[in-house]
Amino acid sequence: MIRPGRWLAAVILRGPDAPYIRQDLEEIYARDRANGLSAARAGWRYTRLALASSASLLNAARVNMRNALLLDLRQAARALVRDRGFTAVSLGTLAASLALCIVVAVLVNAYLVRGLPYPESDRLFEVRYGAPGDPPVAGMEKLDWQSLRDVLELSIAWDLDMFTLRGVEAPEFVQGSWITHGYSQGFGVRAALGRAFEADDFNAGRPMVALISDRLWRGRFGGDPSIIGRTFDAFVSDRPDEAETFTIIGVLPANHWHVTAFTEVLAPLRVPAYPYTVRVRDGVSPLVAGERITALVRAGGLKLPREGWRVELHSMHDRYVEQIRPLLLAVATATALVLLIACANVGVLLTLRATRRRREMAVRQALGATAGQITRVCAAEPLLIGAAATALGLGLASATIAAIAPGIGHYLGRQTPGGVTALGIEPATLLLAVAAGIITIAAASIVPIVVTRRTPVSVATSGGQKGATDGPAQRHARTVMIAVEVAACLTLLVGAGLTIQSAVAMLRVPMGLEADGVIVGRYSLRQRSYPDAAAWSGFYQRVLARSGEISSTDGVAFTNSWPLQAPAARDVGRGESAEFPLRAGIVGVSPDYFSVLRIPLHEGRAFTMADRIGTEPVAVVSRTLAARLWGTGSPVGRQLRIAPAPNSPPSAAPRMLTVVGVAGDIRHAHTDNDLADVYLPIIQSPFPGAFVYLRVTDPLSAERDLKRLLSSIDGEVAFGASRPLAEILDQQRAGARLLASLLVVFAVFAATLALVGIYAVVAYTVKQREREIAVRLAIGADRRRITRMFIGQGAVVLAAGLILGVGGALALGRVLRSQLFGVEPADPLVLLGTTMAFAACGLLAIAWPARAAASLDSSAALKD
Amino acid sequence: MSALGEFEQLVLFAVLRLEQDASGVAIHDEILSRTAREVSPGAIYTTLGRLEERGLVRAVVIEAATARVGRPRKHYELRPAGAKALRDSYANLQALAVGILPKLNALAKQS
Repeated sequence: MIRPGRWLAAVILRGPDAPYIRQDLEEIYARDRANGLSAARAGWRYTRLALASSASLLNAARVNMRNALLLDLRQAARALVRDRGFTAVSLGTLAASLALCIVVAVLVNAYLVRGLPYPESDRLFEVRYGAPGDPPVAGMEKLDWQSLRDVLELSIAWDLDMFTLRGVEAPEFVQGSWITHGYSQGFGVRAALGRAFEADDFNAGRPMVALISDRLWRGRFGGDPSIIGRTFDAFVSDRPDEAETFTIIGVLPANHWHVTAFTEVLAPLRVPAYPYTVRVRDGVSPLVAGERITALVRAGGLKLPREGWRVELHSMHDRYVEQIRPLLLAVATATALVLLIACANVGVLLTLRATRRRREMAVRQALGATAGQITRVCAAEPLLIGAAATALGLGLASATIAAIAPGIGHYLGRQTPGGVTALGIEPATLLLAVAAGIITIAAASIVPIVVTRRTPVSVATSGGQKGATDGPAQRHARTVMIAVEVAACLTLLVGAGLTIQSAVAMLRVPMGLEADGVIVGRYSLRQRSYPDAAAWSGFYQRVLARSGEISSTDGVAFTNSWPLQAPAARDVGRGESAEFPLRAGIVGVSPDYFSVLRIPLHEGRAFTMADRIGTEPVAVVSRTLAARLWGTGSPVGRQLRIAPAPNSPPSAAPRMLTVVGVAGDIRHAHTDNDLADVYLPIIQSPFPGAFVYLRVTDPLSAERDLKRLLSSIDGEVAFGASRPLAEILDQQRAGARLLASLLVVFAVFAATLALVGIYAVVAYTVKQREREIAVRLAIGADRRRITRMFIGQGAVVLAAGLILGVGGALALGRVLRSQLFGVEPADPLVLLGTTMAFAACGLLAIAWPARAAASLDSSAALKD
Repeated sequence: MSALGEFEQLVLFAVLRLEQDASGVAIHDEILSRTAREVSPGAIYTTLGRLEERGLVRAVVIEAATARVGRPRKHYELRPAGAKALRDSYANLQALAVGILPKLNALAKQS
């Protein structure tokens, strides 16, 4: 019965003491048998002791291994501290690029991966009624939406509104919404204090209730803990006749977030509404739900804008990030390239360092070190660098995120889903960072480890490393790393070039107005006090007549159109024709509008205070519209016809106006190519007005004076905070500028790394071949030919990298396409210019060390 | 120098007692006969290996030709540093254990 035990002992007992242990086991077995123990029992004891011995040996081996590893790491740490230059460059390169990756990963996670911060957000869809540009279908709110309950779990609608809060203090103008019960459930509206909405709150006839924001509670209501049950009065644009009284039932959490900023006051919408957003039932496809809604609307007998009109559902999250997805993907691609370059660079540095240590490794091998032990020694340094770089990268990334979080929504043009606090390093991102660190350092250290492991022992006994050159495998590895670096770098440089070109093109687009020095504010009047156009007109006339009371201002203008947004368009035509061949934006403006915004008048005159109700209806047209309607002839004095608004009754007649002036074309955005606009006098046409522009020298005092003037004319007028027009214009360019500046930083970082990498490799090769060069020189070789030889070899690698890089740049151009303005993704000028510039820098990085080769002192080199 | 563990003390005492004959199996038998505790030869060798690294014992390999049993054997001897370490450990133990036996007996009886 000893046989199984012996077999087991032979298999599991390993190490130098194994023969002695087996011998002892045999002795114990023999003695047991001699003492009369049965073969089975003696065999069992043998097996038991063999197993226990194996456990002890394994435990000891593990401890030894750990100690050896710690020793290797300690030695590596000491070596890294000694070689500060190498450590700083490789650690800095890796940490910076890892930090960049983590920051971008956090942004991509927050915007593109995580989804919106709502329950079951993947089932939330925006409902698009008809194609963009289709006029709204009237009467949809009266349809039987309950009949879709089998496909729609929640119907969500909200009505954005401005609430003018009244009270002892000055009226405050805040953004709020009337919301359906579906909104409350679908967007998970909770209360930090008090309660959220209940179904009963949405029944008509119940007292009006409201949830207020944390900001409003702390600000206007002084953080009153007994706020629940208190009431406030407010005018709202949708119920303009009476101030409504709202009972506060709750305060929203400080981190309450919604896709729109209209969340200062939430009140129940108690009139029928059709959904803008829906939560479909689990398992119901958006296609099916869209078809059901289309069928409901069609069956309702409503007037549809056209044949084939239908409803489509679009993922709410996709719609929210639609604009920034390409931007973030471009940044993510650029970041991946930076990491690739950093990895190749650190790989080159580690390889050069490993080659310097070949002799040490050969000695270790000669003294009996196993391949595993050599690998462990080689891996210790990269391991330490990788671990330190990951930790440093995480620290850098957290600091960067904390610094950029408050402003990132502004730069990207979209607030972070879930708010600023939602930007942070989550466990998944942390895991990703650690994985990226491990993969990068592993990829960077494969070649150096192979280089050292393959070192023949003969190197140890040769006179030194100076005469010994690397094998073809090592040379190829370095070549590939440098070529990859060059390719990735060129890709990035071209991307940066394209975005810079695009940003410049944007800046060059003439907007047609001068935004600097202009502030814009929003105001609101009670409709009860201003029921008609005459009342509005009277208000403007009173303000404009006293506009001299506003200090440090050079003009005041009113308009009904959102600043730098395309105005509502209507069909227009010549007065003498019954046709409407064109569409043009309609903007209501006060007389000084053109001078405040410095919009030139090419012909005729601007509006005056005499263009009031009861006088001849007049208009100013933009130059483009004038040319389209009347060609080269002067439009001044001609008649312009404007079609009635889409929602006006069929009997409504077109408006006829006399053109009194031609203004310069203005763009409402960089991409606005429709320059046909009609300006109407705001004191003559029935526009409620909404915005006031002031050209100022001191914005603060001008705003204060304007507020004082407005309240002296009407104590109930509410005025929102003003903003510089240039800031709004700037915000339109923010995304493009962010991308351009990020790519420039990445590209400069990458180019520096790549050039340092090229320089290091050529310098190393020159150093290695010093003896060969010395021999060549000694037997009369031309110094210039030696320089040319090195330049030629380096240039081949550079050229290979550049060819690869052009391919990469074309691919990146496709990613960037939607972010580019005024420049093609494969712009030959950018592509060629960048390639030539980088090739020139690359050749310089090669030529520098190559020249050193030619200036070698051959006798000194041969003596060494 | 870190203090000796309990098992290290046992092994060192066995080596001391066996003098010239401290082989793995002899140490195993010595511990078994005096403490009724069976330990594996693997545990003995790894412990001795560790003690050897610390300079407390010396291993002597006796080739097959001269070995008593006709096979190569490994014997261990206590080095002066080992003797000092064992003395100190034992002295500490003794100092703490003085007069404690009656109390231990009484406590053991209670359970």
